[in-house]
Amino acid sequence: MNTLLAIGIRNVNRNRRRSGLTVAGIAFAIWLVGVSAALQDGSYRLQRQTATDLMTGHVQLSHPEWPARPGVEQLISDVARLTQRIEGVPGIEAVFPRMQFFGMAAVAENSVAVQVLGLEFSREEGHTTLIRRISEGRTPTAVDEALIGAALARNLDAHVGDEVAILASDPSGAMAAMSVRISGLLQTGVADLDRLFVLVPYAAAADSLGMQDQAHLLVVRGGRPETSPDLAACIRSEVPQSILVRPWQAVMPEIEEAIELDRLGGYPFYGVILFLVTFSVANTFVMVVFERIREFGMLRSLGMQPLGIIGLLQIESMVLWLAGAVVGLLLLVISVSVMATVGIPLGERLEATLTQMYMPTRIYAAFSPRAFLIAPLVLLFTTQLAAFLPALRIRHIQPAHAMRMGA
Amino acid sequence: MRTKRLSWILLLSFPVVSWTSPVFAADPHAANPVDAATLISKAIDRTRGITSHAVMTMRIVRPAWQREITMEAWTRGREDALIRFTAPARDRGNATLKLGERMWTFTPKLNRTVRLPASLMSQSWAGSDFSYDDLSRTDNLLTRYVLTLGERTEHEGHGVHHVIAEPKPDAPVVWGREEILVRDDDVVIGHRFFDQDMQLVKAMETLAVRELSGRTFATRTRMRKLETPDAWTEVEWREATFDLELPDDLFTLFSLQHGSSAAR
Amino acid sequence: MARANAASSRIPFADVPWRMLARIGLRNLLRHRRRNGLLLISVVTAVASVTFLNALMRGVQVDMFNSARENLNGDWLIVAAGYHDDPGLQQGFVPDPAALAALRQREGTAFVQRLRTPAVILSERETRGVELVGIDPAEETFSVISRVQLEGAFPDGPQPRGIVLGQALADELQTRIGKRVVLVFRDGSGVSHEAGFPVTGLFNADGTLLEKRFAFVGRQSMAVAVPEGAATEISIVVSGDDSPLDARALEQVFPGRDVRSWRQLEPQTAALFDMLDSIMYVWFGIIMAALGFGLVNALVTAIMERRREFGVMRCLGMNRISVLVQVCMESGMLMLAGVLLGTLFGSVLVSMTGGSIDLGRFARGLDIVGFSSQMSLVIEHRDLLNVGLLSLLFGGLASLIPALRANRVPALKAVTGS
Repeated sequence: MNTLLAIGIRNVNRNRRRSGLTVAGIAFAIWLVGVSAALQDGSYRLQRQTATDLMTGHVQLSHPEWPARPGVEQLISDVARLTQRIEGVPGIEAVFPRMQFFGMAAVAENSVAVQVLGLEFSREEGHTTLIRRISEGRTPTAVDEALIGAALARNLDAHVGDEVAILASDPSGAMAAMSVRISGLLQTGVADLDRLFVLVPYAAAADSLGMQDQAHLLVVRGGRPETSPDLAACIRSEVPQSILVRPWQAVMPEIEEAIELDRLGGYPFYGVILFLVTFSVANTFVMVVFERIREFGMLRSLGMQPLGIIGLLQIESMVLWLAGAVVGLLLLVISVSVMATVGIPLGERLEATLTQMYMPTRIYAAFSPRAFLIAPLVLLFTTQLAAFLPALRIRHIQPAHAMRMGA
Repeated sequence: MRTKRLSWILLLSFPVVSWTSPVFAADPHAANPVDAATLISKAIDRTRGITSHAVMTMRIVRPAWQREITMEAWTRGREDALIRFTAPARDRGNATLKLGERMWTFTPKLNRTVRLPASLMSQSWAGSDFSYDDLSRTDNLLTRYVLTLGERTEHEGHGVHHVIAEPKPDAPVVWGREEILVRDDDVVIGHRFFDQDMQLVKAMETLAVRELSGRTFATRTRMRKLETPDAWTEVEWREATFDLELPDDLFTLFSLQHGSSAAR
Repeated sequence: MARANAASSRIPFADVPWRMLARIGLRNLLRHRRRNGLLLISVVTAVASVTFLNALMRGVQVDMFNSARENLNGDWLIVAAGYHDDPGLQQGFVPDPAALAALRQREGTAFVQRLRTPAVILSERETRGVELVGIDPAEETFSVISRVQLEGAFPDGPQPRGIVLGQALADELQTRIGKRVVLVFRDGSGVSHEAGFPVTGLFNADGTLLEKRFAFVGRQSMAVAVPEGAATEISIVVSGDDSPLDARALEQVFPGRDVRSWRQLEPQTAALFDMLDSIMYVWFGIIMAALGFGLVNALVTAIMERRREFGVMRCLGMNRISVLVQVCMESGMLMLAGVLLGTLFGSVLVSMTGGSIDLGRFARGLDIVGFSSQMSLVIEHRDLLNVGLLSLLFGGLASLIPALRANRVPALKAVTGS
């Protein structure tokens, strides 16, 4: 085997330019497909993170009816104990209780329908990006302060410092009321949120609804968004059956679907590139077989079986692939490292828009397995095939005839 | 990021809560009702220019819990009403003022009055099976429907007229048909709501007919949606006074917030 | 020979025997059928896939553009100042007839006036929030209204009344054609108004977001307490790229109003839209690069093989330029064949899809990104031309460099071979 390998390497070296170009093609394909896939996966990671960091969290616990008919009466009880149990699950970063209900906000003579979100500001500070999207003022620090959407403030003709009355129905239908002072205006970039949301301290909301140790949602953060289904499964085993546990993928399925679609959309491109490179390898071997007919004839007459010669060519192809893979992967590692840390800027105009929408302005690559494996593995298979098919001609070589042919 | 759709509580499009109000007490000497419109119209006419004061209890029954609220209500004509909750403690002091089509609610917790925007009128009132809309509608039966007489049945020795109310085309009514059961002494003993496929969706039935302050009317009624048989709302009159002197300033925002002389 | 040389040094391309060189090139191509066949297949694949992918991306662009404009906005949306914060009939205004006349006179400009307000829609069992849009159906030739699948009909003219709902909304409300729904909204003076409307039609848009968002009625039937001829918005569409409108011009014609382009109304879509053009070029470059390695390899081999032949030709009197031309023509012919076949093949693939691909499975995710579940494929002639020319250029370059190198070897050396 070693001899054959040595022969193969030497053969490859014989025509440096051609081998070099072929290796370059393979390396290029591996690098390109790898970089694209790494960028894709990097941007998917970012998308998932942005979406879950906004307010959904990684896993949500709620009343079973909550997804279909979210209402103030769909509550989970025993929140303190549940929180404790969940915190015991490995990998949990934080557990937040939330209130979410529909009500009416009034400032002076103006009143509008709103969505009230009760959350623990100080605890969610480092985790939930929604509360950082403030255009004016600051997050609430006292129990009687609130954030309201900027558009909502305009509609109510309210400003930072004004007092807002919030009326709602408690779970049994009695009138719940709270009075809060606007500490800041929310500008999320999402029109619906800015026009409808009022964010109040969780304690204030619970108090006004007369709720003890209850919540509408328990928002759990832990691990990466990609592993949330597993986290949800762990949590499920720790809580009563009567509570619905959902990973964020179930709460916002459209995110994952959009990602999947984009990912699938990449494959035709990769396919074309890999195909073209394979063809160049095939072309190489067509030329190789043509040029070395005399040599093969000689080998045949010396007693080598056609299969042996074909095997030799397969080894040469493997050598080319190996060289290309090494170069390609090396370049890939370097490129992905750079792009994972520094990122790729998106151009001024796009960046301005993205900043307004609180989205990252650079694309970062991710060290994902598929970025490093797809192209090399596919090419391994296809380059072997590309060498094999032209080589089939060798079976039909008549040694004497072949040796007489010109170089 | 998408917000979930705001959840809306089921709308009840129920013309008039005051169908059960004492002001509909019929004149027992009414002549044979000639046609449906006259029947309804008479009852409505009787309420014009009349005032009332009543104490009522409302019981809201749900599969998981029950709630009973006591309230005082004043009405003036068909347009104006003031309702103040008196018990239990949690609800005490909450009040609602209706002036024509507009409604305000007062909450003692904040000592504040809030106007109800039109988009919230379909919300449930105090968690019951009635909406704010239901409290505010008045002459709808006459203006938005075509009334005809249906069959005649019996109730406690009285003949009962079934008045069929079909919404006029393009009337702002969601129902396919309503049926009002009026006794020959002009007491309403039932009100049924059918969807546009003529399926019965909800029904109000009179559970007790008594005399209060010289008038006979439905003193206990229950509103129930047929799709949720174990949930209903019952309203019962404890006391009632009619045609009394009520100060003009009773039906004002000021009175809503601070109470007026008659409310004491 | 000297004379020929002198002549050729003055006018480089005058002495090139084009036809002969072409014949030589063709014969050469056919000589190595397998190798050139593979090369041809590579080029055809590259060009065909670029054509197809371009069609896909153009289709995406077109889809995005259409959905951004057609979501009732058009290219330009004119509303009262303050409307976007507090939409409703109170923001209705009567457009200046002179301004409308000016718009009408402009070539390729179409516009439509509407009334729009947030409203509550009620059925027997359900209540929902919706945007009520009062339209003149006959005028709506360019918005989504003209493109949706409609069951039933839009109410036409002031009589009869009717409302058209999205299928998804109708399902939620548990209503259908023939039944009545009630709309509650604030009229022009801010007072709450209720009205019953019979459902006369249901529309099916690609993506249920649209179906749940809008409900359409005749403009007259919702004009309550607004001046005669009032509208809350004017939506303008400019067809063709010549003389596009600009904000300032519109602001002058409609003073005091809020004028926004679809790009301002949908910045996300606009950003993606612009990016796609660059993306197409980048992908073209990448695919050509991938093609390039094999192309150069084959061309160089071909040229190196024929050094002796070139030497002979040179000795026979052909000048350097001619040799160069011959080489370039040969690969040019191959590229041309490849480009033509590839373009044809790609176009056939596109037409086989019928102009669109259905991605129903991912409909929800697509909503967010702004695409419909039907992905269009659009072939634009300028794209085909671009691809063709660039590919030829590329092929020409790829063969030029090895050809130049082969040429430098002195004739005699080439003939004797070394």
